[in-house]
Amino acid sequence: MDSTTIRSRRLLALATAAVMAFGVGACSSDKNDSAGESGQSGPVNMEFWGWAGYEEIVDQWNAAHPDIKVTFKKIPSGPKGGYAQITNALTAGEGPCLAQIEYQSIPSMLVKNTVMDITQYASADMDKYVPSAVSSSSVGDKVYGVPVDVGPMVLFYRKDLFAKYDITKPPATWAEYKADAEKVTAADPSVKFGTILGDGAGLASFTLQTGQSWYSTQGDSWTVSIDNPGTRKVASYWQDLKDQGLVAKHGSAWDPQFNKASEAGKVLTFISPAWAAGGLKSDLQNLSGKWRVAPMPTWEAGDNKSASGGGSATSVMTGCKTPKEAVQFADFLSSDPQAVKTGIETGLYPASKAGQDDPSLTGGDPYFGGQKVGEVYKASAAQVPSTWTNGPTFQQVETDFTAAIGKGTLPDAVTKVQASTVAAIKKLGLSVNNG
Amino acid sequence: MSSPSSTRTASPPRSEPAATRRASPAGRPRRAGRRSALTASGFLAPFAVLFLTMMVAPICYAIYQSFFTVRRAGLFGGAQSTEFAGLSNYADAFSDHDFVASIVRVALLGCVQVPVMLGLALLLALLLDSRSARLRKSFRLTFFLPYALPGAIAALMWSFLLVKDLSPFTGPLSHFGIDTDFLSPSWVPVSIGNMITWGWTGYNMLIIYSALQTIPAEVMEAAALDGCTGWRLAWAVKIPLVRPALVLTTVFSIIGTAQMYTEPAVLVGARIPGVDPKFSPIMNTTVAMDVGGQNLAAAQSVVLALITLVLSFGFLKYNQRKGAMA
Repeated sequence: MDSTTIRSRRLLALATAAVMAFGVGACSSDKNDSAGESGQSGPVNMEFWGWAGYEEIVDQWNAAHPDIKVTFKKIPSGPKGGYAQITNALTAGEGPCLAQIEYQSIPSMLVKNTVMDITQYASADMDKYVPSAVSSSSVGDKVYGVPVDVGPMVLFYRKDLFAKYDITKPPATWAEYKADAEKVTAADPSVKFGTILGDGAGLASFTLQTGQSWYSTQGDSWTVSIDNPGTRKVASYWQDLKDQGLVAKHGSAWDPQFNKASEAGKVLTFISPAWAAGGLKSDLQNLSGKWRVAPMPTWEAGDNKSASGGGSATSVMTGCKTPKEAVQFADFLSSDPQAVKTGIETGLYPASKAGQDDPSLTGGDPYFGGQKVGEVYKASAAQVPSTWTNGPTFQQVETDFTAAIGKGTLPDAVTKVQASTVAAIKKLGLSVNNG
Repeated sequence: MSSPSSTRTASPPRSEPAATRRASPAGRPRRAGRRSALTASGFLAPFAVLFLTMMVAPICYAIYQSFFTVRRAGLFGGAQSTEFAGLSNYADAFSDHDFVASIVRVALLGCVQVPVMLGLALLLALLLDSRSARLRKSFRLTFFLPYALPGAIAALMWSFLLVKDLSPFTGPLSHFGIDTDFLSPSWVPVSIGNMITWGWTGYNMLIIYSALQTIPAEVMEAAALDGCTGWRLAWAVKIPLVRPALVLTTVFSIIGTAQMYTEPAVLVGARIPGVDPKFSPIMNTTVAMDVGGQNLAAAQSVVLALITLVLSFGFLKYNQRKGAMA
């Protein structure tokens, strides 16, 4: 016992020493981060923090731009501590020049004084990207990030199981979706047509399709309208499906429960952003050729309204001395043909209009039986309404929805989170109205 | 204030008998005292520096922060100013239903889980210490193994064992007509308590076991001569003698329960519906921090620290008084 204690103490001391040495090293290496002033001669060094697989694109940039060197540092994904890391580093004056920020978190990061207004450098290039992505990375007429990738929502469905349960085509409307769900469960109660809507992010995406928004701004004041007719419609629709046992209670791609159900042929479809294809390909290789992609069902037949989920922008951080060069790099990352192609290979669906026509997307995808899924994604991305405004307390809304949905119904959760969000924004010291 | 990953790291147990501690180097000439004090401070300095910078300073900073608030103006509060707020952050913390509910929840969980865990640990330690124990080393290692496993990995493993469709237990149980979902809202506290018990019983067992090892052989011999063996020996001789270790493990467990984070956080991270993302007090402070409420988070941390302090020191004092009276 005693010898292990001494050994573990010694180990602890060593570890502490190592951490200190590393910490000191990190401080000194960051110093040259903001050395070069804009327009000054001499090489510029910038740090870029993110969690996507941007390494190769950064290498491509550095090879082509010897005067503007970008160093990529991989951090945990934003909600899992990445944002806290960025905010803390900036507070300490040792932050990066550039960072990956999800669209829905841009206002939250603005509240923490971390993101820079880059309108003067970036606005000219913004028409390269799909409109919904541009509106997601700006607030009002101010640009706060260069959009990198988007998550157009689509319906993933099992062609083989559709044939088995005699469903001739993917549902085009939510009414058809429910009818199909009833048909499947009537044939076999253990089989479900789709998966539940179980979190705030999903509810936000489905609300976006109705053309409603959870927030709006007027001057210096926020209006919270989480409890709006569109969200109510979505919430009661999905609560009804859940109550009738028409949808599976687990999540979709990447959820082990979903994978198990898929392998057993117990679930036919799920609605998700395009990037979920990556989850299918990695976790369900043995189901290759059986999945297909269709547009997301709509509320009115042919109203051509889709939705999106996830996706992120590259933002310039407060205190960056070389914002012009930073935006140049961000633009390269999002729109340079080779960079975009590299991004697609790592599983990103580009926000760039030209990127969405990249042959690697428009060609047939063997996993989906040779279907040209890129066309479905592109059509969906073009139909995402640009009506959404993100709120300043994203993490709180997510957490409160998860808690409320765990305890009660979706419509109840909507009422609760409306109230808790108004309270949370008020607590931040911002001006807020109940909408 | 305290990083979640460092929860439940307690200082290693001291198993030295009280007698040696009291034996101070008396009768040494005074001159040498100054030099030895210098040497001692030299040895203490590295610890003191780390302790001051890594423990005391952050605690002071958190206390300082808890008395201030950030005033924001504009849509994103671009114009920020920090103002003295008195006790308003504390008022907010106590009027925050989720935070108070999480304290009550964790306290109730601890009331059930800690006695169960320590009872088990004591039982296992006594079994290992008993004369008829076999394969002592391998059993000791087996019981201790869950603690050696990194908490996050263990919790991840549990999230597979507990999820209804993946759990190897729900299927066989349903054959006996028991239809369970270990992660339904009413079962979640039980499942989390089970996870903690699994992970920490071995650790506590080791502390109690090492205390059992220090019981002088004469005492045992005397007991044996008086015909005291087996469970009677354990109850009448061994348990009273390892009381300090039991008190110590209880204090560690109170602190650990108050700082509960890993187990519920991993279940939440696995996107399992039904697990409250504000299950434990520390999870509340994390959420408050995420939305820019570092002052509220600081106040919540201070409240949590005070509760932990009162409970653990209260328990210690209570036991000291009881020990003195006995």
